[in-house]
Amino acid sequence: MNHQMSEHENKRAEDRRLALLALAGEQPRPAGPCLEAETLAALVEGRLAQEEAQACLAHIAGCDACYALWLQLDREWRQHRPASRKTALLRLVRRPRVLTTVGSLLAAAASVALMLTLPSTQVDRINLPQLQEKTMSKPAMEEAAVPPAADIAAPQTQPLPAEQPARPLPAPKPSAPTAEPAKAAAPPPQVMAEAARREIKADDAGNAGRLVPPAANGPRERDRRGMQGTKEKTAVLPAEQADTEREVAAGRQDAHRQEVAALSAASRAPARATAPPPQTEREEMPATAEAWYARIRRGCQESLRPEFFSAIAAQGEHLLQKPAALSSRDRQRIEAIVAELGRKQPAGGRCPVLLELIESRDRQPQQ
Amino acid sequence: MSRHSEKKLPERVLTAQDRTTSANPWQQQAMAHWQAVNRLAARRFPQGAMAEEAALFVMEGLARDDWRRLRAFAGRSTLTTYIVALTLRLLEDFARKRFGRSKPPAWIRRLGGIWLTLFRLLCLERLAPGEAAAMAGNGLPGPVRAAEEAAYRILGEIPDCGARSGESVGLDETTVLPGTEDDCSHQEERLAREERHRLFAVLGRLLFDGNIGGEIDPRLLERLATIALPLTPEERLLLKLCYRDGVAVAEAGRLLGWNRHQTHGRLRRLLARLRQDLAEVGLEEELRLLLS
Repeated sequence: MNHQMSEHENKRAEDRRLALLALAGEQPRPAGPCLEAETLAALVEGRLAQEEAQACLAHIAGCDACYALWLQLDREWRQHRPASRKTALLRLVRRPRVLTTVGSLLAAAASVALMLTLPSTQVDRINLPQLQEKTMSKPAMEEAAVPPAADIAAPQTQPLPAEQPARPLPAPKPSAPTAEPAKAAAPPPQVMAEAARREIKADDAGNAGRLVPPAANGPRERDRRGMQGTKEKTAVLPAEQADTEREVAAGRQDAHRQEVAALSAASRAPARATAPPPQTEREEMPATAEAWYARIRRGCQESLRPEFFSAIAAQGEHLLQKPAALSSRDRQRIEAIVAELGRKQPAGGRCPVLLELIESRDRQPQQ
Repeated sequence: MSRHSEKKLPERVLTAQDRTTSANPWQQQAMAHWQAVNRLAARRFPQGAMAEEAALFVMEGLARDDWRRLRAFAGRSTLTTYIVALTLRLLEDFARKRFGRSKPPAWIRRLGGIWLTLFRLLCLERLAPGEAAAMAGNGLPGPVRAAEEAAYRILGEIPDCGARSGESVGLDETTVLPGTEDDCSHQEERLAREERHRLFAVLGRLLFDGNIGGEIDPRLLERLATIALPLTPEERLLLKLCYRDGVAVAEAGRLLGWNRHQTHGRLRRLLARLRQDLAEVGLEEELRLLLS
């Protein structure tokens, strides 16, 4: 280090000697008369044209008096010139150190922006609501209401192609009221299809809500359950989709309207005295006997819950209240299943009977 | 400085015509710059009384012939810079009137720049080396350091520096002052042979700081110096600023209208060219001896 410093000093001393030797020669005579005060002032302020400035410098190079005055005037001008924000900014930006720092910061900012932009919208859609839930405090979570069905359906349907299965959303809170959106005016067909999807989703959400005790209802636990529910929904989604698409293809719009009306009525109706199903089960009744059968099959394939059969029974009774939407054979099957559900029997033995009743219905041609 | 800046322009500066027509715009402009004039005078002359006298001299010079100098302003620069330029010149006029003129030694004239200024400040105005260096260096660290070294060198080379100071010189309207707008070309004179010998003897001591000065033949330096090295005015100014007056390279480039990178590049190429020119005339060995 010291060696390098001494080398640098020696080099500078050599340069100085060489420069002084060059200056020790004959001085050139000043070019022209001494500069006028205004010309000198304009030179210092940089207001002269290039040719004129060079002529002035040529004189200054040979005139010691003008040289001394030039330096003094430049010093005064630098000290008292009006502060120009643009000049100061340019000087700041031109510094190599500042340029390096600014370049590094820009590169870092670009990297962060890239990282935020690169992940697909899928990740955003899954993660962002959970993040929002995490940031909310527990009382705020309790106070917050589930957004209307149309609001939920919009982010689900907009970014996805129609033929793709609906992307799962975090499970809605079981305690949140969902009756209000059902009171809306008659929805268009696409909204009705979404309502069918929502019905299936609400089932799963209700299941998730039953599996977890309320004491463990913290944000982190809720997130974990939301992810579990998402996985479950993803697994059963093709079957649900087939059901709902079959319904839509059948063009049973009247049944859907009745379903909406039934949902409203169910939400307004008092809880049953016997075995009240969860609020989500009670509110979102199956629209047709086909959907009800599918729900029974699915419930029997999954782990049996004590509330399942009571909910199925309530739904069957609800369907029986709408005889116009049922064929006579469906009505008979439903009545048989409801009667079977009304009998006291171990939970493990119910499903084979119920499935047998449904299968016998499938084997018989519909009238 | 503040003591001077608070002073008011005395009535005697104003002519009778000014007092009657106080709306003279040039007079108002001069009055507006009175504090700046005081500040410059105080910086040029450390003694308070002399600074006040110099400031009055400047204002009288500005007011002469119905503010002729100010009326000559054509708007090519800002008025403030123009008035500062006029003030600096008038302050030098005052210094010549007050302290007289003295012909500097040939080696100081040859070196020029801060050497001439320091000679005047030390040997005519009898300032202390520190004061003279601060004034000649314009307050900049590099030039002040170079000026301080030069000041002590001058005092060492000129034992009777300041011995004949304090002799006032009569100055009337017919006196033509060197360094004013129309006169500075007669500063260069032909050097006498003995003066040339002394010039290069001193130069040798300056260049080599006395380390090997005894071994350097002044005639070798003279021979080197007589070689006509082609320098453009800008190159000459660059060498003067950087190596004679101690101005930073970037600052010298700013004065010449170049940016930092241009200045370093030009300086590097200029020094390489000087070495090459001296080598081409057969002085490579002498140069190596001098510079190494």
